[in-house]
Amino acid sequence: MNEAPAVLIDRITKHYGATIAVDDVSLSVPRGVVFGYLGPNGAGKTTTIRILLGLLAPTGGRAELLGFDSWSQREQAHRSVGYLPGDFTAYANLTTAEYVRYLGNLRGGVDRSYVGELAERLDLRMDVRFGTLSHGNRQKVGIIQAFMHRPGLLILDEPTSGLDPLIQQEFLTLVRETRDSGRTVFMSSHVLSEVEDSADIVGMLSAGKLLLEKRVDSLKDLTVHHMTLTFERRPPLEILQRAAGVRDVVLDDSRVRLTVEGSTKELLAVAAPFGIESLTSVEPDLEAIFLGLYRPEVR
Amino acid sequence: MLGSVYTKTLRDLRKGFIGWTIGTVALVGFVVVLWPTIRDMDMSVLDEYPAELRELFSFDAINTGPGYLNSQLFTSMLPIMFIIYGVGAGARLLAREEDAGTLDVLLSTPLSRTRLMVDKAAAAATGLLGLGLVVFVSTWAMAAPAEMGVSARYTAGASLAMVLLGLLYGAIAYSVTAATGKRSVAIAISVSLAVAGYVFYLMAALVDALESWNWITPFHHALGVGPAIDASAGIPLGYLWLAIATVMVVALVRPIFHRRDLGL
Repeated sequence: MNEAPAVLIDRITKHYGATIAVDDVSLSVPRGVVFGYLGPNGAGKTTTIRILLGLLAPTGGRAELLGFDSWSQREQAHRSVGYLPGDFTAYANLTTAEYVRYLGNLRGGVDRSYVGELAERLDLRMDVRFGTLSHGNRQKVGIIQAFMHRPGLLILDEPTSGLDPLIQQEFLTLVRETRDSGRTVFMSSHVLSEVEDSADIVGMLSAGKLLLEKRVDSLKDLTVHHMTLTFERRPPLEILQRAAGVRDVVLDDSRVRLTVEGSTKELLAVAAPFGIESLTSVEPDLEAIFLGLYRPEVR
Repeated sequence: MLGSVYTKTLRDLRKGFIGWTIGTVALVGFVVVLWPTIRDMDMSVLDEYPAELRELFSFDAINTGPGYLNSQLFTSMLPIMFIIYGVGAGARLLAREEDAGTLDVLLSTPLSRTRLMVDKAAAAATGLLGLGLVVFVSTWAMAAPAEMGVSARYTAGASLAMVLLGLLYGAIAYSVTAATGKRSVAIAISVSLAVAGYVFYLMAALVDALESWNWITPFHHALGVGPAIDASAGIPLGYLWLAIATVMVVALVRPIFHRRDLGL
């Protein structure tokens, strides 16, 4: 049982009438990693996750969490799972302390001092009613309840939504610590950058289909950057064009616009001697990455 | 109060229960206060009503304490109040959590769906029993000094009939939300069934052809053989019918709730 992967999805399909929300998705997430489940809004991430939690029954296929069937053995699986829903909400009339105590009583064996530690790290007061909290603070409550029993598997649906950047960093640190202690984090996102820094493996979902499952380091070579560089001295364009991954170079006065596929290391090395005054790089959204990724195959 | 879904749900019901208690006690008090006036009134005007109706609402016995309480409380206002309370709680307890989205986290704990369903239902039943106790205590406490000739046994039986009616229609509302997640559908179905049951109960009393079918309506079991019976009888079989029907309604829907997609 202990050898089972943290998450095993075996040919899961989910139909809502004629709509296909998840289409024949299979993946296996080993233990002790951070898995980023990426895809644009509406791709089927939340549906997959709610199937994993046993809230939805798949139309076809099956899934396992830590070796337990996600549907027929959901109670056993849930002992070792922490879950943050995408649209997390708690009882408006309960304070965070009360809410966490309630869930702790249902789970059993929650370490109260760890709850306090989590609240402190995320900078959340425990004695405020949920109904009066801001969106960001509500999300913190959701994070605390997911982490508080130190589960072997965390399933987090868009966990950084609404968090300010500082808390986001603290949260990602928490995620990495969790991974380093041998536990598994399965988190969804529609933003690549937030997953890039912490995830080991990503799966990309689009229109219900899993497009790829890759280690993040290999993915970085495949991302596409749209850059604008302003130089002190105008560099010869051929030099820039020859750098690895560079295409679509356009000269506009002293500014150069170009596109880089993969690492920008070589481009920056050859450009630096000409004095880069400023540099902007637009982070591609997921759709662009998909396009960038699939261009070679389409051609 | 946050130890289990059962106690948490009781906590949620607490505030409303205080209001219902005040309302119920006020109603009972109002009816009892009017008793001396009614007792001394000339009731010959009621002789104009058909015999079946007089029997149904205990008009013939309206000059007696139990007859008066039957007509003014136990076959009129109180069944309505208990059904409203039961349907309200039944339609709300599961569906509100599903609508709001709090159900997702609740069911991500090792709590099973069956346990959740049982705990919520038990809390609603506790609320109804509590309200029944309020009716029993207030009626008994107020009727005794007013010399209405009402026994504790009669009051207990009548109060229990109210609880059982509320439980059955509450269970219907609860089961519909468990099966569909839709609160409005649950209220519509259970209220329609309550009205239909009551109309049938009246019709069966007036139309001879329907009389042999009157066992089909819960009101027959709660009111027909309940509060109206004389105090010497044991627990009426009708009460058992109601209790069994209630348990069956919830039990039948459990497998549906167990495998249904939640939060859609």
